[in-house]
Amino acid sequence: MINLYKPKRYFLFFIFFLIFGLIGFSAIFAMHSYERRRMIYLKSCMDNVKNKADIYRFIRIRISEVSNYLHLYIESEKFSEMDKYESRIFEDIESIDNELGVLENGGLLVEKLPVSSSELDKYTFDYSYKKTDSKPYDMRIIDMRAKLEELKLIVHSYRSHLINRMSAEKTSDFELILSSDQEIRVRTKEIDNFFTSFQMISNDAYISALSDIKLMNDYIASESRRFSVINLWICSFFGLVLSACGFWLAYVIWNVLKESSLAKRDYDDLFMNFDTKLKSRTTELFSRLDDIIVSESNFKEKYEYISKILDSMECSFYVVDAKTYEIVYANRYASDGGNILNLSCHSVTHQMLLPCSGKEHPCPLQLVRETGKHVTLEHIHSQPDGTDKYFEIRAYPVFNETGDVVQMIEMSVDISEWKKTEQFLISQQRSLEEKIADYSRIASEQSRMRESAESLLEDNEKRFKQLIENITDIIIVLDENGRIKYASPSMDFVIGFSSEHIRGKFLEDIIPDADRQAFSFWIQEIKSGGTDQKSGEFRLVKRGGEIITTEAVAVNMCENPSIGGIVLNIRDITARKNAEQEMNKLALVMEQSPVSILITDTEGVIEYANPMFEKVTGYSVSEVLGKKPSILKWDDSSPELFTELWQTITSGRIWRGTFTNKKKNGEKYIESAVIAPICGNSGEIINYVAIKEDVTELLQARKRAEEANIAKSRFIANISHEIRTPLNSIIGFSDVLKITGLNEKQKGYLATVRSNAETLLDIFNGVMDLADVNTEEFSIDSQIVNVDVLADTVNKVHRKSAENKDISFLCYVDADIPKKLRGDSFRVGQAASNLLSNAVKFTEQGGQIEFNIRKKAETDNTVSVEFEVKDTGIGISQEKLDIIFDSFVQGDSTVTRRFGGAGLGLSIAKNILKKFGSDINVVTEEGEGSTFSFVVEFEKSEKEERPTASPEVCFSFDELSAQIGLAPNVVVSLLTGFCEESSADLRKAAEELSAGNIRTARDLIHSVRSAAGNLRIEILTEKLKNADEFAKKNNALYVKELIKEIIDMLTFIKNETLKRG
Amino acid sequence: MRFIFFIFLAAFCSFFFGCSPETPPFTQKNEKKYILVYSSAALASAVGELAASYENNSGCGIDILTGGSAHQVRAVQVNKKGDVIFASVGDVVDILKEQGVVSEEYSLGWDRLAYFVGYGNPLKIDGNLQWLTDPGIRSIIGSALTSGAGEETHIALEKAGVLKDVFENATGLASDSKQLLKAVADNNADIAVDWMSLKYSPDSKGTQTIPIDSPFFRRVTVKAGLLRYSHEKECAAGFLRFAASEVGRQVFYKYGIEK
Repeated sequence: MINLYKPKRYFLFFIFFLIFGLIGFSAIFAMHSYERRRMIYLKSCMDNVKNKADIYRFIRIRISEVSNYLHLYIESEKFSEMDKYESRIFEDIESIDNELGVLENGGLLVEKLPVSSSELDKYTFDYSYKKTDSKPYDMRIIDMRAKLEELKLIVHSYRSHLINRMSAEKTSDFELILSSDQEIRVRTKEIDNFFTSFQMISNDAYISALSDIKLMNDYIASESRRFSVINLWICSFFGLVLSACGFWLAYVIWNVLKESSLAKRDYDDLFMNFDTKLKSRTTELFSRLDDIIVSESNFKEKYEYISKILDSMECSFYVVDAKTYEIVYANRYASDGGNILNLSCHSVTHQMLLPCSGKEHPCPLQLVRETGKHVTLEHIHSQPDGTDKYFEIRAYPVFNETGDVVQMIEMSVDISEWKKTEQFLISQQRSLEEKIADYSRIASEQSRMRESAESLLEDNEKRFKQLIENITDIIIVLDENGRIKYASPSMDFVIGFSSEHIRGKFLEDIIPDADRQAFSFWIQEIKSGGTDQKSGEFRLVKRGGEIITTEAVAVNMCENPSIGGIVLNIRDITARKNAEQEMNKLALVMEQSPVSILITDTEGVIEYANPMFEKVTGYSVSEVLGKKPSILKWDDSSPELFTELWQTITSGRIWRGTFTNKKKNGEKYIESAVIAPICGNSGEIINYVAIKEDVTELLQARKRAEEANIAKSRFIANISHEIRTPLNSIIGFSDVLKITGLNEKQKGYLATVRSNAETLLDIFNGVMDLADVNTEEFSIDSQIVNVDVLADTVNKVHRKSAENKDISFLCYVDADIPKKLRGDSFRVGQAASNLLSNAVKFTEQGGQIEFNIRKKAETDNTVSVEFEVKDTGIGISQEKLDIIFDSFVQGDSTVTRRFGGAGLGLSIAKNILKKFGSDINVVTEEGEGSTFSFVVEFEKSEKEERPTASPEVCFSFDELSAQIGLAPNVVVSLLTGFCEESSADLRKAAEELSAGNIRTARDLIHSVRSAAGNLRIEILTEKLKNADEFAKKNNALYVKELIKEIIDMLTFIKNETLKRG
Repeated sequence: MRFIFFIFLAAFCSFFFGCSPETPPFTQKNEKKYILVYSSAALASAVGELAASYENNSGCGIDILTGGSAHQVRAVQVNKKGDVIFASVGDVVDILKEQGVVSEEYSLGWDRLAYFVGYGNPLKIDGNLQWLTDPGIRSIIGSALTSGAGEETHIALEKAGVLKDVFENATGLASDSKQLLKAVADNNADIAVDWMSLKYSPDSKGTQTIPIDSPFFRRVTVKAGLLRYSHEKECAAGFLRFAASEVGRQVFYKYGIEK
């Protein structure tokens, strides 16, 4: 079928294509036209700007001309010359005025330019200028006009003096000549400045005009580019759209041609095949007619066949009309030889005039019509002999085409016999049911009784089972062969075998080989011993192989039929056995101990004394039992000692101390004793134990050694002055000698002398420090400590030495350490200084030293501060670590040769720290460097926290002002600006560090550092240097801490500056 | 498709009918009203600061033409244009008012002439007038023709009776105050006579002021006036009143104009 919609659509598309094409060409044409007109206009603008520049150029030329003419005018010697130049000056002034007029209001400027040397050969140019500026004034023109006016005044002021001079020259009036000359000279002094200023204005205007030309050129070029781009876009757009439309149009035409070709072919096919189709259709119809005849014959046969079947049925079969109740078909059985067709069904079956009704005798036809489904009913037909017959009626609806019930098929079967049988069966069933009910009642009664008995039994069993399961002893029943007949559940957690698993196995299987024979004998004895209880001890092997010791009680109950075996009650006594062994060991220890051990009751009566006690005191154990230890007391012993002893031990604490006692023979001896209370399970003291050692000889030896050491220290301290004085003299006079005109060789010798003297003094100072630490007079002061100041003091000593060796020296002080602490800053500084001195000494050129002070811990009253000295020096081998703290010892003998020193620094530091109850911790790797650290606990001076917002930065404002060389108010603004900018930069640096941009952070820190350096704020510069170094090492945590500190400092400086400025 | 077509047609029409080929280049929508202010070179910094502040707070634009006071007066008289004048020598504003050119005038403070010498005063010059006539000293003064400072110097020196000698000795006559300062700062002159207030100017870098010890050098009133040629009277009067207000006077005071 041909689609008439498509050609219409194609036509509309074609029209659209044409219109769109037309618009496209119009757009391109209009764009070109616009572009051409715009370019012409812009060219005219360009000409206008060029003319403006030309006019300004003429003005410049004329100003120069006026300047020249004015000088010639001043130098005129004749009136004619004077007039000539004057007229030229005024001509030029007039021209400039005209030109300014054109520039100011727009218009045409006619300019005659010479083309040869002849005055007459001039070419005339027309300069048309259109004013484009919206302002009503042009400042340059206003300025130049005023200048022209001033120029006229200048010329007029010269005129009278020139005339006077020329007149005076004629009359030889020298006075007038001189006065005129002086006046002219004075005025001449101002014309150079005047023309310079004039030229500057004109130059400025000319340059501005040239700049306008350039701008215009750029604008035209950009406009040209813009047009090219727009053209390209328009052409591309229309080109693409038209191309697409063209392609689509071609496709449409191709489709139309294709469709018309197909339609033509279909038409030809239809016409050519019409006859053939007619013939085949006729043949087909004849064939169908034959089929119908055959099927009609078949139907007839089937009808006859079905009629025979129905007639042969031994029940009534009817077909009843649904409206009239008339029987339209009845089989032979129903008609019973008569003709019942067209009679009503109720008249035939019930001999009634009306159809059946009621619940007991419903009409099947009415039910079928109402429900539209088949129904089965029972009807009682009364017989003429007065009996009733039961019939089962089955009725089926017959529908017409519209679904209405038009007929009913009814089958009636005589079920009178069935009914009788059924009634008999029902009566039998009722009698049976009554009997069953009786039996059930009896059975349920019996069942209830049985359940209560079972419940009782189950409770008893559970109780017994829980008992068995919860006892820790194992109950085993062995049969006559020794096999395990029963094992209690405790078998599982004591031995590790479940009771089910072990049932049926021999108990000997889990008895070690060594005990097995003894166990067999024991069992035999039980078997033969009647029913007496027998106990025994044997070991068992647990599931994991562990052996436990057990104690068993067995009874032979083989005669008891409910048990029928030997009952064993086995208990694990391993712990008890082990405890007994331990007790034995302890007893041995006490017996064989090299120290005296006494155990007393709470009244101090001796209950036990070991053999060593006998050996030391001379008393035997039997002598001291029941007595108190006071029998040993030396007569002069202090009673307070014993009071303190009893107070300590009765309060449950341990007492340590020494007694002066006497032996049995009266000999005096000193005992070091530790006496401790022994507590019972409920915590009450039940005994006291005293462990005592005879230290008489040891104390005597120690006293002798201490006396010797003190004598040594006193000797060193006494001779220190005697040695230091000549050494200082050597060093001092070496310096004096140096400036007495020595030659180079002598200077070399002198340097050696001085260097050796310094080394000697250094070693001697170390020795003195060591002696000082070891003397009895060594004490720890308690004074206010500022860790920043401490660090600064220590740094000052070592930073210079480090920098002299080109070693990078970094110092970090934790900002969280409170400002005011209480402790001995001198001693702590001395220890830190010794470590730093070593670090400087053993670090090579170009290395790095870090001196870090951090808060380690804090309580309500104390702050623990860690001092860490980290270097990149030679390090220490693990073997030498143990000896480096000994006096006069260095890691290696080559070290002494290479780096010098006496090896006292670490020993001194360690000894000092020992007094503080601290020690030096060393982490080192040979060739990589070392880290020495120690922790010192300071007392808090005040309760409040350290105020972080006001760091102590000391700077003299006036000094700073003088150094920078600026007025105080300028310094205020400079410093506040610096503080604000630097704070911002440092915050940014901290952010960059967090983001991992180390390089950017370092750049920011560098810039702040250089600014701080310029302002000579040294402490800030120092901190920034540290921050930079840590940033270089990628230690962001330290840098952030330092930045926080520096920002606090900057805030402080800013506030102080504002306050002081 | 129809929708696209109409959109395209609308864009096409608006493009071609909305654009004129003769639209001047660099045209911008500028609603500002511009006024022209004449200012003495000595007051240029103060006037510049005030103008910037006024521009920010009003819809007016301000162009400032600086130069010597005498030159500015001449520019007003010749061009008959402009809106406001600020003069170091208040007399010129009075003259313009007498001529009917100025309609409204205000005194802004006063100034006086002083010596400007090289920083640190290497020649140890003091306030004596004899320094201007010393042949060993390179002196420069303002031109009476163009500069207010020059005019005032002429009057004072004439009264002191040394004008001719000073002229004879001067190395040049500068056209305005800035040229005077520049000559000393560039070491083209040893001494210049210029307004004392200029010591607060950025141009005074490298110079030092010394008060002139002479009774003939008087205090000069600094004045400003509204010109009757003004096209934007509202803007001009507003700016003038702003300059004469307490805020404006503070600015002048900051730049050395005494109250």
